[in-house]
Amino acid sequence: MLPVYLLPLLPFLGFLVLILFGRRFPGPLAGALASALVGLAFVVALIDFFSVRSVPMHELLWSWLPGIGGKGHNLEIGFYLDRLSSLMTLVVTGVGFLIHVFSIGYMEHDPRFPRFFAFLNFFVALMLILVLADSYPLMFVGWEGVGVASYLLIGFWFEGKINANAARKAFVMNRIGDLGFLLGIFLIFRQYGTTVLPSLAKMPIKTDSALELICLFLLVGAIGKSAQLPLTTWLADAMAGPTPVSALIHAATMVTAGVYLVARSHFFFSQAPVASSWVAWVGGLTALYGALSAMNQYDIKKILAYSTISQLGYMFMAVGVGAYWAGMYHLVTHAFFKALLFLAAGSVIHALQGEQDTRKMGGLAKTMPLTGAVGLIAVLAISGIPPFSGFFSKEAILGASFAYSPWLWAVGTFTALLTAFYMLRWYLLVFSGTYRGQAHPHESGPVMAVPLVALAILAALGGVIGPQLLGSNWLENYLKPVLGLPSLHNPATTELSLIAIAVLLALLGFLWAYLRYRSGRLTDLRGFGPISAKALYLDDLYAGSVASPSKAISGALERTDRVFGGGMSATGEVLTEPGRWTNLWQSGFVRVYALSMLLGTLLLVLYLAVRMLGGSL
Amino acid sequence: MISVFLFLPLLGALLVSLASKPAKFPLAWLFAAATLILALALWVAGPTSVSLPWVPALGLTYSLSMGGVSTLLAVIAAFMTLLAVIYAGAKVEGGPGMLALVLAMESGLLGIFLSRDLLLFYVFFEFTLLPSLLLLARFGGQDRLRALIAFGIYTTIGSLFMLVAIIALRSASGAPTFALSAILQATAKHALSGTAQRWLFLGFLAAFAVKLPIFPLHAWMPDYHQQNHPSGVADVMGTLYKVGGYGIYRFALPLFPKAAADFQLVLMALAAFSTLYFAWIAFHQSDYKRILAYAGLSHMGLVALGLFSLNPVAITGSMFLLAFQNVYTGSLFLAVGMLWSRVGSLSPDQGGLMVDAPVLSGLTMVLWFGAIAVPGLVGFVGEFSVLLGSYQVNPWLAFIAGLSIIAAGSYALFAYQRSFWEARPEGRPKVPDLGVLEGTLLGISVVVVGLFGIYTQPALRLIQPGVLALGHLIGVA
Amino acid sequence: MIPTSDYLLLSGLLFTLGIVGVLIRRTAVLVFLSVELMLNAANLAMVAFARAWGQLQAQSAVFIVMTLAAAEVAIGLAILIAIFRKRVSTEVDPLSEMKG
Repeated sequence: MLPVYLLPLLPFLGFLVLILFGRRFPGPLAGALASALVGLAFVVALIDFFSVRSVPMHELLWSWLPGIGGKGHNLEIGFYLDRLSSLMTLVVTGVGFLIHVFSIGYMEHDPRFPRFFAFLNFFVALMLILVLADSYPLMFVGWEGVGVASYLLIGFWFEGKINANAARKAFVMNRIGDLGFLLGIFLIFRQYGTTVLPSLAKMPIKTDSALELICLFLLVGAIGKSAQLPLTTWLADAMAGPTPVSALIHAATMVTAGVYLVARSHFFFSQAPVASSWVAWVGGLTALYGALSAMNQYDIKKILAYSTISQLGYMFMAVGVGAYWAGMYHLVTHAFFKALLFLAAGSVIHALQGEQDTRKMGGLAKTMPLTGAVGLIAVLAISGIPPFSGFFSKEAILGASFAYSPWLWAVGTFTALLTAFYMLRWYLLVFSGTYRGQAHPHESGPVMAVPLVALAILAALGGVIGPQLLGSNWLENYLKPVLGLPSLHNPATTELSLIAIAVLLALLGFLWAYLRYRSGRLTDLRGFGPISAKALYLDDLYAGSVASPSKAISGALERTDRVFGGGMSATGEVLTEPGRWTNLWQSGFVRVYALSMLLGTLLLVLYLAVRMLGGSL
Repeated sequence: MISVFLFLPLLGALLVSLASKPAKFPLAWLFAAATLILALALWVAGPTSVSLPWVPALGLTYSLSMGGVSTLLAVIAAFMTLLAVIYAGAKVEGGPGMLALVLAMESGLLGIFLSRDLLLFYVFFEFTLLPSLLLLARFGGQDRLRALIAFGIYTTIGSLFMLVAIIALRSASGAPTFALSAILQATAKHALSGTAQRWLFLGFLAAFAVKLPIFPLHAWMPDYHQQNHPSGVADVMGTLYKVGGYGIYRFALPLFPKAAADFQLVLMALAAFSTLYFAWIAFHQSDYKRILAYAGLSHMGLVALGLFSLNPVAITGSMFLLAFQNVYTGSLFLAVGMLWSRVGSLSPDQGGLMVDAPVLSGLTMVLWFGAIAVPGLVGFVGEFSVLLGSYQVNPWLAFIAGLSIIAAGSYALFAYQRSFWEARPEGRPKVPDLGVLEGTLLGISVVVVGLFGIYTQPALRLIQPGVLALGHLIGVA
Repeated sequence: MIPTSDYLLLSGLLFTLGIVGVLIRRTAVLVFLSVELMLNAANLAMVAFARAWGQLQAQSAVFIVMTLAAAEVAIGLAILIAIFRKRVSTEVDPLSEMKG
């Protein structure tokens, strides 16, 4: 049993060393150091994983925020490691470690190599703080901290205006969600007098409108971070960052923080039926939206980005319908197969010297057999083909949502069909057929291959932690002490038929994609095509309805404010004007001064004389 | 000891102004450093105070006290002054000329923070105006006259109201002297009537609202910063001079608790509106000084929101924010000055500076993140506490003020991106990165911004007892 | 004994002469002279009153005025010479540059 604070501390030290002394690390040394520290954190997480099975660990460090730690005490910085957060630390450090290693190869020619690893380490540290926080404010530190890391890494190649804009957009849209999170914290404190998670979990929580409001506020925060509707458009733009960043931050870990937040706050959400249904439907609609938008993308990473949005929607569905464990389950398997997909895409992009347009790819399975093979595994996993990991977790979600509402299930299942379609389309465009570009693709070196293989194994077999085929399973039982309640279960026959329908639809999606591929129409979807390619015009809608008016208002306010300044100067002018008249008197002619002196004296004398003579003026 | 601390910078100012040109800088930084060391020593030694009759016929006393919020603000003022002095002396052309004024201003600021006699406070409040006006007049930009007049008119008129209120307060309370403790004793025995409280409160508020500043009495601020010397030295001192929040905390609230409660809603609304309004305007500025001016105004809106909400958590947050915004806003002014000394412009539209000047870019970025209240840095602690506390009093106003965190993210990163990211336009010369001295100056600030963001205890220990006492006085604890 | 009124008459005449001189003369030296004349007219009036009342305060005031006049002349002439060096004339009217 090792101290929990070691987990964020190790990568944070790596960040400090690399950002301050980055230039002292020649070659791949910086990457090796960063990877080693994350690997070390993984070891710590593993050791603690086994020790917290019985009792959660709660460490308090020092007092931090004034007056909100309950009973008027100051809130302390504290880490809380229970089964839920322990699972997350394993995912963050485990997948994080593999992606660090992969990056050593991927970023080898970059002049800012040490800085990249500094930022990656920074991200891992803040993500661990988010996961391990024992109070909402501390979780918020990690919450915005990973936003900062994401900003830095999306804008890592900041010379491009598109990248810089994407980074800023991600940060600002996240901040909209963050405001919701903050308001949620404020209301929690108002209602319950503390913001410490373990204390809140022990409190009796009653269903009332304030609680619903708390949950809706938290949902706004989760929506921002997990790119759900309506704050979803930043994630596709975030693909401007280096591909390992997309794999780590924008697929495997950071964007799932919203799911984690809801699961972590299960004691609130399970008592808030209205807010929970919002969570579920936001998730369902986003799953559909992401899938529709992914159908006609050409950028190898954008397809994956929209698929991430869609898969996050699944997780929201799960936690919305009360199947918190299923949400966490899909979070874990998704981390495996989506990281794998991104790294495979990274391997391709690396091989093609930065080419990202799938129309200039094709046939790469021949020149890059390993990448092609792991890509195929990942496609099968995300499409829900048994026995790959995605199948089990997706079934768990769909089963739970059917028990909650058949309509929600229908949305989810239709999305599964689309998922199979666009993922096979992705695979076929990149790896199948003949090569349509000019570069000379080659298989990546071992530094990149090893993480690919490791993730492929996890993506293929990761489902074993919780196959829900009929009855209970390991993961659900494992999380039960934390999440408490039993989730919704269907009768066995219903469950089996649901599974059959979903698998059939996935195969149908494959068939659809394959048929279009055979007839050479994979790259032109008529009718719906342009709508999908523009991601349902959501970006344009926001640009027109929020961004431009906000800028215009800012300009208008600026002009009004100048009026305040101008009004003041005008007052000054008015006040100084009489002064200018008296200026005329000061002519500079000595004799005029003398005369006015004389006249003044005369007036005085006259006055005195009149007074003395008793005259009345 | 405490008097030595207070007048040491003034002595330094006199010696520096008499010294020959090459001797000015060594002398100035010695005095500034000695003041900082004294400040730290006084902090460690704990609260001290001194009270002597000064002009007994007028009831004027020489009452100083160091402890609590005053200590925190005094230490920060001494710290930032030292940074400003070193930067001005070592790196700014014509900087040695500013040093005497900067030191004189430090004495005035310390006097403001330490005075416990209303008239003495007023004297320092006005005295500080002189060096700041002179800094603007001697080293300001082309359009400085307008800024100067606006600054002068706003502050003197505001202070006049306060002077009248101070004199009226003493006679109304029947206290023997102008010492704060004497007046508080008198009002504790016979509370002032509601009407009297309201009028006197408004008198004090006139001065403090100008110095906060808060909408609509802020118009002098953006011009003041824009017209000050581009090196940012004067702006550091100007930032420290935003003492309105302190005045409200130290005098207005304890003296007129009933009036503060009467006006609470209006004032909170004004403060919340200021916060959002200024942050929104900052987005539209094309001059770094103005961006920072509006950013600072937005922070001051939060300070006011926290104070007027009369909630202990929020007041603690206000004082924390007031103290530490000096560090990041002031250092950002210096960073902007360093940028100006390299590219000769205060416009954010530079592009790609991070390639040539990674140290400047990195440090500036951390300071900006501190300024827009990224948690884990120092700005967050204050803003979070203010918003949380005011939410307990009025959720809607807290929400309006909270919208500023979105706007803050926009304006800060938009300006940052245009200067340090994106591609450098063709033909612009290479920009040298920060030297060791400049890097150290900003680096120390960054350390403070980071350290006090997570380890808040030293500051909270200074703030919280005072807030607790204030809470008992105004009956909300 | 000459009555006090005669002294006062003389004093008034001298004073009026001084005023007229200050007002109509353009040369600084003569303006100066006229000012001195006015001072001495006032002195005369004061000694006359001192004798009439038989008291000494006014006498001592006259001494102060005389020392003051001497000092004034010393400084004034110095300024005059400085101006003359600069402008080669002691006309007062052209010296209107310092108007507000």
